[in-house]
Amino acid sequence: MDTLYLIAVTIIKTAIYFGLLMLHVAYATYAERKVIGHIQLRLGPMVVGPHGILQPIADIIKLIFKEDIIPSAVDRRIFTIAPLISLTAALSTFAVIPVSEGWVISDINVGILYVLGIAGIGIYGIIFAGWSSNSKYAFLGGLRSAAQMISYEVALAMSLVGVILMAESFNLTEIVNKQAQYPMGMFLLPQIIGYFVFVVAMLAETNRVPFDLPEAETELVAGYFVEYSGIRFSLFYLAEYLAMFCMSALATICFWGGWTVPPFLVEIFPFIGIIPGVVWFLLKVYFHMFLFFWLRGTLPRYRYDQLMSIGWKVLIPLALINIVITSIIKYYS
Amino acid sequence: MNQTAVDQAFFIYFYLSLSILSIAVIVSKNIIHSAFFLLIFLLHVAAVFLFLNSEFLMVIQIIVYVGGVLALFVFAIMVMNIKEELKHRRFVRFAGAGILVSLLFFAVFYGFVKNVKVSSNPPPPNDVNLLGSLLYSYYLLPFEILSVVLLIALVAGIIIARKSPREEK
Repeated sequence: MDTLYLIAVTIIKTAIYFGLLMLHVAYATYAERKVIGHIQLRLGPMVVGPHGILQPIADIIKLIFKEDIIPSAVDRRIFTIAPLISLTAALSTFAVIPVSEGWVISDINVGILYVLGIAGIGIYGIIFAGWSSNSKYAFLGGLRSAAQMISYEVALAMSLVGVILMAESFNLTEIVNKQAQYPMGMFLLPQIIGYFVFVVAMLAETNRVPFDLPEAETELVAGYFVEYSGIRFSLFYLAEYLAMFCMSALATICFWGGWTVPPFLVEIFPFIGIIPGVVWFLLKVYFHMFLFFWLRGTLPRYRYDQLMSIGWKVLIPLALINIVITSIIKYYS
Repeated sequence: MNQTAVDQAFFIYFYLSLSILSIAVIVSKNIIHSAFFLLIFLLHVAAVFLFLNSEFLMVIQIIVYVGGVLALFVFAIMVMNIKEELKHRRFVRFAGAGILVSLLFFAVFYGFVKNVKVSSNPPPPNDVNLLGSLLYSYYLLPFEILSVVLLIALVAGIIIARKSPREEK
């Protein structure tokens, strides 16, 4: 009876988490359009509802009711399943991400490795989509994405090694709790090199500007999902935004102290302590999401050879230096 | 329904799906379909590790095999021209030898496994800390030798990929 009870509770937890995540993704697209709009001195979506607040709902309804076109020359089986691989991988990472103390579906001991591993599965959706579309644009997009994600995954994982060394644990909850002893209650200052590497690698890993070469619209039309339409197209979109949320949450947990309040803020404003942890967590995640949109509004795209040399010649050596420095300081203190 | 019944149901599921998937990897004509089945197969293997209470091995399985090895496989397949390969006949010429080798393998395997006793005490709960300390104390020498072997493979790969001095002229 115990096992069934556990399974039922997990399913309910997952359903709630899933619903909230979908709401976040829907409004992240709205926020992106608004932020980009204001950066470019436009207003963004304004028509549906006051200030276009119902725009994402309208978009979802439109995408669901559109025809799901499958071109005749595609590899049908792989073509239909590729978006599902991307989406499943992006969603599965949230199983171990804690939102507040104890608010997590599965608090496993190797959480940080799990997130990195599962997030890596997402590239198969992109590669398979690119291959099965039987189109040159999609194929080039898939190849670029594969090379890019393999290269930047190394930098991403290495930038987190410093955090793991300082926290002495792979458990995400433990990592957050360990940060209380450090200045400002976060690993941000002692791990500033790691954070820099992480942010650059996270942009490349989620295929965002300035590293959005797999979907560079000026060269590849739309990249790997050029043949997709309707609901399957939106599944790729969903997977991309979920990956962005996942990376933002990881940055928040590993570098920004998760759901804890910076202690110096509590000293200045004592009443701030009553705000629940989940609010702080979400604020920090929203900041990182804003970072994504902000960079998209300001930076041009890198060339492909520049992208590769940044990954292998700048980020990975920096991450290695960070590991060595952190280990030496940790050994002698 | 108690703990063991649920465990057993999952075990049967993994047993069946692993066998079906491994056959599908070999049988599919299209090499990308093979890669796709291999992806699902490796994820199932990771899930089996989870059932044996070794979270760390599950994650390493996913990172190394799914994230690394298979990604490079797929990448290499992409660069090759698959349309050519599809026309070739499947590798049935060596089927007899293959069956013989697999029979031999399983016979030897059975010989090894026959007398194994499953220990009844449960494995230690936090296996990551234990693994780390053992790897850097008791198993330090094999660990270092392994890394040197990998380094040699890397250097060899670079030497093979690099143009010979004559070509550069």
